[in-house]
Amino acid sequence: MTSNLEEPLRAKAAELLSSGKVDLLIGYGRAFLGESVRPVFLRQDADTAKLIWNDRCAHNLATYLMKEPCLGLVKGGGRVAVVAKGCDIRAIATLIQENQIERDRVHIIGMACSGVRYDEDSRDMAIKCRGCEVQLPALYDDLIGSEADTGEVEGEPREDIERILALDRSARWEFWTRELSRCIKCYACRQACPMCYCGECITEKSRPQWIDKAASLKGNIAFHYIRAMHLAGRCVACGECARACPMNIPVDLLSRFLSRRVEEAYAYKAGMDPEADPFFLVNRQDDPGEFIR
Amino acid sequence: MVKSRPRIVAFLCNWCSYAGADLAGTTRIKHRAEVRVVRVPCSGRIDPTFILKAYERGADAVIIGGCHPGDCHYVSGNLHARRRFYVLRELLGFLGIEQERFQVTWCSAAEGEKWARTVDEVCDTIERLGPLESFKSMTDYLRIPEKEISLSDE
Repeated sequence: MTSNLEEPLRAKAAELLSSGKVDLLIGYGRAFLGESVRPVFLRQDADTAKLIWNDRCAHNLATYLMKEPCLGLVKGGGRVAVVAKGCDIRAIATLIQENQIERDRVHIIGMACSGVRYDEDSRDMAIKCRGCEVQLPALYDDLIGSEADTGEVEGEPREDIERILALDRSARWEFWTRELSRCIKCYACRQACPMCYCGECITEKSRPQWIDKAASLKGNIAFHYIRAMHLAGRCVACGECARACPMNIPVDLLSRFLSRRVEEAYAYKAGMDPEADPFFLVNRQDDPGEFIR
Repeated sequence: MVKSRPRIVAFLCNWCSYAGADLAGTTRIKHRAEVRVVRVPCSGRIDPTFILKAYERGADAVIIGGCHPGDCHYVSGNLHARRRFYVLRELLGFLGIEQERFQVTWCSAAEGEKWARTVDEVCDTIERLGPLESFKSMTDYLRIPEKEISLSDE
């Protein structure tokens, strides 16, 4: 399904590249098979015909800001433009909050979004899009589309967290051991995550080795435990980790749950304000402490 | 069958709870002996991996001891720790590990009696809950059956 935002997007991209305002533009392009979409990296305005925009543009392109060649560009004084949906922009805002990228090094092309689809055959919107609050982005340099282009996302809101919370303790552990025992430690979730930008990940450190490297249940639980802790209060629930998972493990569930708890207890939501202090960087005298004896 | 004794690991701040535990000893307050103490420079030093490692290696519960808010030797290490441990406690509960197995206490250098009471209470709680089987079962495959490691001739 082609969107009527494609032409304005291409025009804006050509303008940015030809005027030299940006050195590189990350957007969505057609992949080799069927309706598949892949990221494209454009340097010349002649290439902008490659850009597409439709409801299959699910990737969170903010991930590529922290990888080469963008990383070198933004650290070296260049500018990178990113085609981003509201959820992706929350990730960019978090990167700005954490001083990973300067605000004026990234040119955000915000897209009015009416939800994305994962499955080629499915007419259903991705479950993450249900109940979306950022269909019209709040932070952008250019906005493509308007309120009129944000169709309502159909479908029941997801309640996977509630379903886990309804289980008793042993059933929860049983659920997680069943799910995580499938993990093959391919680290696709980490690679797809815009927030996992550490040059050296703790899972790769072996002196001392904190996280068991084996793809056994023990190592898998250790990996997802520490991933959840590192994403608490930072996860923007873009769902890219779960989409990347070849074993269909709901890897985003833990970090999404923790981000929700952080929101409930501390009134902090990741990526909503690029000026705000990151959650774990600050503290308040009146933070919750009832659990402490 | 012999009832197993709880195994508890405590991470104590050098400036307060560690001295508090020391005070409990020098003032000869009796408390349960099932606790192993690890001294850390500040409760803010304690990484979630420490706690994971303790559970993996057979701890039934972990106690964190830090300074009361406002008393931190490094001004705000305990307040950073408070946020981190709030989140960690939620994670443990979501994974299906009893939150009682993760205890945080603010215990000053003068509160030897509070430390002794905390240890006793946590020991009682763990005896009621029983050993933490969740992690033990995962490492069972590492245990070589006794028959095979027998080096004797028969």
